[in-house]
Amino acid sequence: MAYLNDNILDNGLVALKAAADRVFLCSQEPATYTQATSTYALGNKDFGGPGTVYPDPVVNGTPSGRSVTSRPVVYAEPGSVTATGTATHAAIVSSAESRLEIAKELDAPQVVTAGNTFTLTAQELRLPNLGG
Amino acid sequence: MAEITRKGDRIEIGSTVRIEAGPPLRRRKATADSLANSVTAAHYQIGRPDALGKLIEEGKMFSYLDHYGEKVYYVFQRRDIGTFEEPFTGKPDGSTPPLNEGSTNIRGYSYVFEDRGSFATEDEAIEFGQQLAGEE
Repeated sequence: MAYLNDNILDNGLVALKAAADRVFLCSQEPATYTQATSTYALGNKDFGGPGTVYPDPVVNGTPSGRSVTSRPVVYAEPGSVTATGTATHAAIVSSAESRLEIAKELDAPQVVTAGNTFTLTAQELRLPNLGG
Repeated sequence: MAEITRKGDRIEIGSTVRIEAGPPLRRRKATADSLANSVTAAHYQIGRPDALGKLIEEGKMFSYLDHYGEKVYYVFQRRDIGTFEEPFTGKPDGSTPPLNEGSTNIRGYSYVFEDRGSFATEDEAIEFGQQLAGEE
């Protein structure tokens, strides 16, 4: 196969964009929605409804494919740390669908304490086209 | 027998047990062969975190989610971890609460769904989940 239309990649990303609403910090890589949102959850940021985590359009990826970038969790509107532990992964979920969308390791583990807040940089998701 | 309900991909048994399918958690020694992208997912690499968040070191055991294998059925059980109480500071839409609500605190339970095991089939997971639900 030598060609893949952007529409094919976009539809997967558009489905993610339409549904995702929350970001969780996790103490290990979650395999399911419940693990991400409860079992291993150390904190969360609720952006307020479906479609709020990825507000920007799908764009060309580098070096190929298509990508979307999540909203950062910023100091002015931080996430809430709900349990004490070491955060090693972040997860993006669609709570209305009870669906784990993305799990990703953090750049570096971070010790967090219940009652505090957290921030998180924007996360890009790229679906590469043929050849990478 | 507790009532079984399905919500999307999730199975709930009563109000305290959940079942979800997902990739199994496995362990193996970190080698060039085991870290090949055709064997374990691309993000498992030397110097990067494994599924438990520990750095993967060559020749040592690491944990990974086996995205290429058959899914398993994880069983979770709810455990209450206490009550919480927070000041009521306003309605979710940001509007000012009526005077008679201003001093009302929010009270509730906090809980966690703990991982109680995983099973190869949905039937086995439901059978175990019913046992857990029946113990309560």
